[in-house]
Amino acid sequence: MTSVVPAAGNTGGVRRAGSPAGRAWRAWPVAVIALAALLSACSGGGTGDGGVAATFRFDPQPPSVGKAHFELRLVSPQGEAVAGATVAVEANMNHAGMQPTFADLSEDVPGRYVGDVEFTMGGDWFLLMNATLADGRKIERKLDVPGVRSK
Amino acid sequence: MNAAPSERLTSRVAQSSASSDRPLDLLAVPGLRSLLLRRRWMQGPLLFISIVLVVHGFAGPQLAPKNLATLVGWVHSRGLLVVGLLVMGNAFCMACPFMLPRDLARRLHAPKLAWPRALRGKHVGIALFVGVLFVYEWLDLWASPSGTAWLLVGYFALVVLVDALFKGAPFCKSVCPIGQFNFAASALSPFEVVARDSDVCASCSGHECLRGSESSRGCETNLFLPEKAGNMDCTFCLDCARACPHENVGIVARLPGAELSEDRSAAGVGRRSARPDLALLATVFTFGALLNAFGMVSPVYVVQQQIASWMGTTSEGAVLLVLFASLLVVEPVLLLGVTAAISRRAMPRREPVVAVAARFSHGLVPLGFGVWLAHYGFHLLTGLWTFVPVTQKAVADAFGVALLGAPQWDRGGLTTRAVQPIEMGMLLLGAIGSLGVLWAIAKRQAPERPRAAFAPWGVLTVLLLAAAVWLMAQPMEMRGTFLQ
Repeated sequence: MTSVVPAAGNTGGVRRAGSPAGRAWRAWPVAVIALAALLSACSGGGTGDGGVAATFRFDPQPPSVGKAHFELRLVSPQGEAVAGATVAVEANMNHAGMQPTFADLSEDVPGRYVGDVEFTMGGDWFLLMNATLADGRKIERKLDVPGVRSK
Repeated sequence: MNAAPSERLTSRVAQSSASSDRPLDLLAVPGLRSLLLRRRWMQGPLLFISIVLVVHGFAGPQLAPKNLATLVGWVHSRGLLVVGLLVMGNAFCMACPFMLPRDLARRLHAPKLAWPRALRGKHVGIALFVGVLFVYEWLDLWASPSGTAWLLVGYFALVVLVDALFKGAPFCKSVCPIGQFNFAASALSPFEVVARDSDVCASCSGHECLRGSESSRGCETNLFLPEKAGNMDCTFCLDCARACPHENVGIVARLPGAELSEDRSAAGVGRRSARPDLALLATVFTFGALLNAFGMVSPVYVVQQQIASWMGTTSEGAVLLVLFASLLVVEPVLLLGVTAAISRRAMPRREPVVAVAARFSHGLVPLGFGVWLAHYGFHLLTGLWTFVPVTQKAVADAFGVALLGAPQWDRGGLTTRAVQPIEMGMLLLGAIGSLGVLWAIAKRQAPERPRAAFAPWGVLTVLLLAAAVWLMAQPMEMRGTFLQ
């Protein structure tokens, strides 16, 4: 199965008043606002990838636990293969708490990047694909891989 | 120099604990007493972590394994909660972060209303507990950082709303779904808050443990310490210990699970046999453990597809509703009903089947706890160190500098193969505990024919154990949307 994947979103005891505890109470709202401002700084902007499309397939399809051969195609808006990119993927489960796996892809024909991706457990996975194009532009994509089979 | 009476008492208890003629008392351990009595050092950091989870849940990456809300909220906190219950007691409630905003709200608006009598049992809390389990599956909260953050915000709002309006601690006692889970599971905890010396209580006229003192409030869940029995409704807040002028309160080692077979009248709780809501809590706790674990393995998707096909729907909510009704209502009613009907034949007084089922349902709690431990322990142990790189990344994103170093994404936990024997051990221990408690109940209910009364419950326990072992032996398939 080949999927056309849209651009990902962001990937990236009661005390008395006047006591030290009372002052701490009043400090909480300030701390919360400051924390929110800090942590919201991490939701960065777009990738500026010029509309490069990513399609991918696995062998076997659907993949099962263990290593699966992964093939990714990068295509420009004009329909031309995007060659010469450096591509890496990070595989994560949708469920939190599982260690991710990583794979560097190699280009076997212009615009087609291949490698082995390891799935350590059955279930829903997603890949975070990071590519640096030949002209230096960077692309990030989230590629959903639902239903990895248990062996 | 003569020591004050309270100091002499503490010293005596410490000595007797050390000499092993009395069970271990954590409040008599030098240094530990002051640490446990000062609750804020636990609540403050947990409140801070909760706020971080909420903020990161909303503002951080909306990818569950990369977000602290989903990672810490569903993997680490649940795992640590059950481990705390296993090794000590109701440690989560002791350090509950919701209590700080609740106390703040009460400073701003003193509660004046009494919690309605009709809501004083566990029904609201049980309904919310089931509701959280349902929403968790329906909305895939485990995969939704913002959904998890909304749940936390809702929790804080509900705590503040209920306890700012109503006197006592109705949220803890009757509403909080985590609290009801903890109350049920803490029956298996090795420690209990008790009065050290009943003679001291007998000569006490102030009853500060219940009424409070100038320095501390008394028990807000109405547990009068001399008449307290078991961990039900005890949040381990230690208000009683702070209030007691005689330092006669201890956290004492005891036989886990023994309270489940008892039926004496306990302060603030009453008799188990007169509390159908407690039987309902025990039932939902046990069968909910199996249901929650079932939701993580591959056969559930086959079942769900079949239900969807039979109903002619692609509505996940509708299918889940049928699944929940089947496993949390139909299955317990059938299994407990048939087992109770057979068991009661051995009893001298033919009680209604429902009453027999209610009595014995408490005996299944150890097995249920074993399933929760196996399930949540699996997630905790396999993902033990995954919070490290996610925290490093969150800090780097927030401050623009990798203050905690570059994310170490190779940090994981134990392998599933290593965790599986631990899971099986938890299940087996739970089943052994259930058999012990059910045997004790059978001896009390059918003193002349305890074996005949026990046998059907023993068979049910073995069947449920087999189901749990089968579930845990299935390959985990953590999946979300399944209907097409």
